[in-house]
Amino acid sequence: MVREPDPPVAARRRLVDWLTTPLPPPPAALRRGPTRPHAFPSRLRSPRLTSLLGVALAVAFGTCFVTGLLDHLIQHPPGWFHWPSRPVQLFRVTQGLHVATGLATIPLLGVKLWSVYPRLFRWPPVRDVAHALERLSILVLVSAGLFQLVTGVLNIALWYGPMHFYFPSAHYWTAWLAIGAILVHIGVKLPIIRAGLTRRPRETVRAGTLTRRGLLAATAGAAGVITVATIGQTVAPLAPVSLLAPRRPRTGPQNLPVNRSAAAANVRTLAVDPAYRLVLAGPAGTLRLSRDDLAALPQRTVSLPITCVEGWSASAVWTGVRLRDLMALVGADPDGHEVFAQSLETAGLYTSTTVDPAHAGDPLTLVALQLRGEPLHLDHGYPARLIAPNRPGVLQTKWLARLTVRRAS
Amino acid sequence: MRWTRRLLVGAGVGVLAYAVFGLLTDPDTALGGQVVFLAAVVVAHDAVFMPLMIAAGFVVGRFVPVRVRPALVGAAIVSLALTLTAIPFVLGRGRRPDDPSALPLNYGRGLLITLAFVWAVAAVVAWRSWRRAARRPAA
Repeated sequence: MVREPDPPVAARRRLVDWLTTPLPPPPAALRRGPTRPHAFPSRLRSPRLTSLLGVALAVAFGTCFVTGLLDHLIQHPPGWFHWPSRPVQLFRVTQGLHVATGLATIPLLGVKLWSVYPRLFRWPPVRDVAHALERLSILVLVSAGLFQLVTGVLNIALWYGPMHFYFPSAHYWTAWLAIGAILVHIGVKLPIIRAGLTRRPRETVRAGTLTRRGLLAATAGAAGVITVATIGQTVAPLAPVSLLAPRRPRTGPQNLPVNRSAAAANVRTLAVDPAYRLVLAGPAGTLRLSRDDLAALPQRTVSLPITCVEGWSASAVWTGVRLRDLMALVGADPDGHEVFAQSLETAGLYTSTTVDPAHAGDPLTLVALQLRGEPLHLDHGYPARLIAPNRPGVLQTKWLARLTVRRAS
Repeated sequence: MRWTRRLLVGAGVGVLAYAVFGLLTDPDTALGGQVVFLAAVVVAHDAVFMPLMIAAGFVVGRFVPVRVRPALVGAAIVSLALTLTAIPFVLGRGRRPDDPSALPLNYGRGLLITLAFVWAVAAVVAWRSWRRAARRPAA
C-alpha cells in the first residue's frame, strides 16, 4: 500500500520546491562590465575580512539600536516602561554612546560594503526564488544601514532640508528594518561567518601592499579619528581637540548650549511680561505664582546635566524650587502623583511633558530660576524651567506656564 | 547551527514585518519621502560612490610605488570617512541665526587641521617603510 504524504508535509515540500527550483539563467551575452568573471581584481577581499567587519558592525548597530530604543521608550513610554531618575548621568551616557557609535560606524559600513561589492554583480543575478528573496533582504539591509547613518549625521548637523520626512519617526522605524535585516543576514551567512572567523587564510596580496590587518587598522583608525573629532560635544575635556563637534558643552548663553531659542519658540514677549504667573494646580486647589513668589520659596542648588538627544550634553548648576515642594503646596504627596508641565510655547513638538512620579518626587528635580547663580537666560527658559535628573533635554520644559499635579495613571 | 539559522531568519523576518507595519501605520511617517531617500542612498553608494572609489584604487595601484602604498591607502580611507562625515557641518546649512550655540565652530578649518594630522601620521609611516625597504635592497 502506498501512503500519501500528509497534506502539510506535501505543501511544505511544494513550497521548498518552488523556492529552490533553478530559474532560467539570463543570456550569457549580457554578462559584461562588472558582471564579467574576475572583474574585481583586489585580493584584499576575503570572507575573513568581511566577517570581522560584519561582527564589528553587528555590535555597532546593536548598540545604536538598544540606546536608540531606550530614548524612544523614555520619550514615548508605554504602560509597562518606567525610567528611573537615577543614576543621574545614565541617559547622558546612553545617548552620547548612541551618537558616538553611529559616527564611528561610518567607516566600518563603508569598508564592509567595499569588501562585498563584487557580490552585487554575481552571475547569474538570481539562481532561484529563495536566492531572490535573500538578495532582497540584502537590499533592505544596505539601504536601511546607509539611511540610518546619513539621516543621523544630517540630524546632528541640524540639516533637515534633504529629509522630506519626520526624522524621529523615520529613524526609529528604519532602525527596526535594519535590525530585522541584520538578523536575517546573520542567519543566512552563519556558515560563512563561522568559517571566516575561525580560518585565517594566508595573505594573498602582493608583498608590500596593504594587508588585511593594515586595512582593518585603517578602518579602526578612521573610526577613532571621527570619534576624537566629535566626542567633545559629550566629553567636555576633549572639546579642544574635537574640531568637528556639532556643539561645545561650554558654548552658548551662560556657557551652556541651547537647542530651541526663545525667538524660535515665539515666547519672547510672554516670558518677560510682568503679569507672568506660573499656574500650579493640584488636589488642594490652584495657585498663581509670580517669579518673586517662586524666588521666596525655599531654594535648592543642584548640579545636573542637560542631555540633548542629538548626543551633546553639558553639566550645569541650577537653583530653584524643588518640584516636590511645589507639589506639597497644592496638597499632593510626591509618591503616586505625576506632573503635567506646559510651556508658554504653544506651537511645537515639546510644548508639554509629563513628569512621572519617579522624577517628580526626586529631590534633585527643580523648577529652576537660576543657572550658574544668574537668572536664567531667556533662551534657557526664563522665567522658570524644569530640570530633572536622567531625562532627555526635550523633556526639560522651558518657559513653564502651568504645572498640573495629578494622580499617576 | 541549522536551528540557530532558522531562529535568526525567523526572528529577522518577524522584526522586518513589525518595521513595515510601523512604517505603514505611524501617522508621523511620510512614506513617500522616506522610500525615495532609502532608494537614493543605495543608488548614490552603489552606482556613484563605490565605482569612484574603485577607480581611485585602480589609479593608486597603477601609479603609486608599492612601498608607500599601504600608508597612502590607509590615510585615504581615514580622510574619506572623515570628510564624508564632516560635509554637513562644513556646509553649515543647519545654522540658525537665533541660536549661535548650534554648529559654533569653523568646520572647514577643523576638517583641514584633522586631515593634516592624518596625512602627517601617514607620511611618517610611509617614510619608515621606505627606509626599512631601502636597508634591505635584496628583498
